Amino acid sequence: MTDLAAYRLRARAFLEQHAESYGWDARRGLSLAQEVDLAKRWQGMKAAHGYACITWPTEYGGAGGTELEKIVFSTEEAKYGFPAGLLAITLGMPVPMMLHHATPEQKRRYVPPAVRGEEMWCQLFSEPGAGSDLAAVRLKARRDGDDWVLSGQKIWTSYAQFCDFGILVARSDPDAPKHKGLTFFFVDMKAPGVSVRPIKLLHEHEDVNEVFFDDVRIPDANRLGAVNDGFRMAILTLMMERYVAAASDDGPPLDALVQLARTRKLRGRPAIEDGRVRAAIAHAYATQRGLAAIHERALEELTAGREPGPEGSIHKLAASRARHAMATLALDLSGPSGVAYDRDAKTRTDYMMSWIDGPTLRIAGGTDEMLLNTIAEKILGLPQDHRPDKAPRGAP
Amino acid sequence: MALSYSSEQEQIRGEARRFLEAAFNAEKQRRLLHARGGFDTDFWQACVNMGWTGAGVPEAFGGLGLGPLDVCILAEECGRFAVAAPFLAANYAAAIAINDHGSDAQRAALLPAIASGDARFALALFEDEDGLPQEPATRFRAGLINGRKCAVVGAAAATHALALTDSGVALVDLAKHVERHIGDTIDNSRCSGDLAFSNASGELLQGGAQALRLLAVQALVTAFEQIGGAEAAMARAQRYANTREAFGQLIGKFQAIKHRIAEMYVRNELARGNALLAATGLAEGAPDFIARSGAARLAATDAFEFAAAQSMQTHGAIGVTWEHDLHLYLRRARAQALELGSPLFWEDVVVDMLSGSAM
Repeated sequence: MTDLAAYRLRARAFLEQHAESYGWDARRGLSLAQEVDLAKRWQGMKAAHGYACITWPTEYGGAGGTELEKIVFSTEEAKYGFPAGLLAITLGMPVPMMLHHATPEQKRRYVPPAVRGEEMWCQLFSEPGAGSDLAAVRLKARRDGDDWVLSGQKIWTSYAQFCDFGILVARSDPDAPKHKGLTFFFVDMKAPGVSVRPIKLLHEHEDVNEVFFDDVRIPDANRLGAVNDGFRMAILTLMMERYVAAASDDGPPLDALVQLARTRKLRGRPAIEDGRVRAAIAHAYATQRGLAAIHERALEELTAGREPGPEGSIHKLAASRARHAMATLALDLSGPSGVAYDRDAKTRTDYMMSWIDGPTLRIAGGTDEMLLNTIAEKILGLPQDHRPDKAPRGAP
Repeated sequence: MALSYSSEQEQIRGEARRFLEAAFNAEKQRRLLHARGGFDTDFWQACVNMGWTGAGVPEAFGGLGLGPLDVCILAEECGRFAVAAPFLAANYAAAIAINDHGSDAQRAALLPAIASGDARFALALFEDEDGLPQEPATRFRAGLINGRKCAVVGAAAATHALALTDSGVALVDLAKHVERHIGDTIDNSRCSGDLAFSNASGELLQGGAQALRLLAVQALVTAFEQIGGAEAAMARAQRYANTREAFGQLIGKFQAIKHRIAEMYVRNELARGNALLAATGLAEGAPDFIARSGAARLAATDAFEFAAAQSMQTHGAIGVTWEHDLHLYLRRARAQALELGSPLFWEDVVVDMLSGSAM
């Protein structure tokens, strides 16, 4: 047995031991706040057993392991429905930025509590007038002696209502060209002047928030990167994860759809005999297997010490489309009674919840349009859009 | 499970591509479109000379003994140039079937002939539009075969067939007692037509050689040809979008264009993922090989037809002219989507496998 196979077995034993207390069954019926609490306790449990932040240095609470161990662990973890996703942002972008760009003292203060699930972080990038176009942010950072004063608004901030700290990009020089006048900070979400207002999404869960900064004073020590180098830092944040393990596709699995098609009827016959149903199932299967193969291949490349190919970038786009098509078909198969709605149901087990989450998936974490732009420009070498917001090269 | 290419395989790919780049002749391809039952004997001879015909034949029988993925690399490169290679996939499927289910005598006679290029196989399975026949009308009696098989790829120039009969899959010598009905098709370089057997002599393959499995192997190799074609069509769209200007800028800057090309990439990569899974499944004897091959067929068919049609759209009017190469891909994409059973048939194959109801 390879070391990695042994690692997988150990991880699986650990996960099995805790699945009942932290997995799907434990999460049933919980409010978002209760799930966050469970997620933080689960993180603490992982930290105590060397499974938290597997690739991070032990000095800061990580396990000092390899990229592959991390991927193996998170793949296994996803099978049991552990609530790791609620801390995915904290540990995926803000805290890694601290690890790379904060001072040693700051790292010692901020990284280990996050690794143990004691403190949560958010990413304050989007604003009402700056979504996909991140460089359009307007929240002001005004220099005042050794401090900065922040005023303005952020929006779509995931889990901000539960967070202790956040990373933020603000406009420090309103006179500089759009991409040149931004600076990157971390902020205390409990500081005076910070107020958080949750936003209810379609499934009625308050996953995201508006965050208002009303003359919030932060020390210059909270700056990450140089003054006016914030856009580059923000892009670094978005590129933080070298290879993200295939996101757990959080809708009901294909097997469940096949089972549903066996039990529902169309024209008096089992729906699984209907060609339209069969076509949809066959193509959903091909999409899922195609994505699984791409994931598997990336693992092989990493095992061989090579960079995975760029094809992993199609994952979110293709998976969210397939998931939405499956949810729609499942509701269609239920006939008029498909309208039933259970607001406490979870996207993983309920087709209506999975369906209503579909439009959100197309937006969150990069819209379909931005993903297609990225594929076209970064992988296929097509030219960038006409960009009137960028000064022509050589212009004053 | 190896889904990544080894450096040896990348070498095979490089050599194949260099040869095909030098050999590709769009004029000849267009001429073949006008040649009913067109068979590119020069290209076939070149395949023989390079050992490609023996790629999937065991070394003991004069072949190179390469695995499915190696054969698929050759298929992908052939597909990239839309060359007339109708026997590539069928010969590989036949070599596997004969090796697994043939008698010692059949193996000794036919495998070396496949490797040397002297034997060209066609898979004669379908009899009408309704998929693989459950009760084939083609009859096998005392070594003689009677019946008609439709739309057989390579029918015009095949020397042998594996035919699905009421008694099982039979090896048929096409030298005598076979009428070849060759009409024009959307892509005459596929060399396809009907085969009518009247007392043609044949031998049954033993040990439960399955027509669906045979077809699934042919579909797997074809899927890689389709992926090669899809990538070539996409590459032409990329090139055009990066050079053609309209309204004062490169057309690749318009999202209507660049998103379309990015969508080609999404489909191509999904197809490649599925095809690699199927090739590995064949190499490892995976129990779900047929489902994998079916998914690869669906995804590759979708990718190739999308890329060919959308690349043409990206080119505007020049793309729909006879002189432009794109219709070679458009025709090939439609021909390959149909000739081994249309997506309607393969959707059923996949769902039968998933829902556990056997064909």
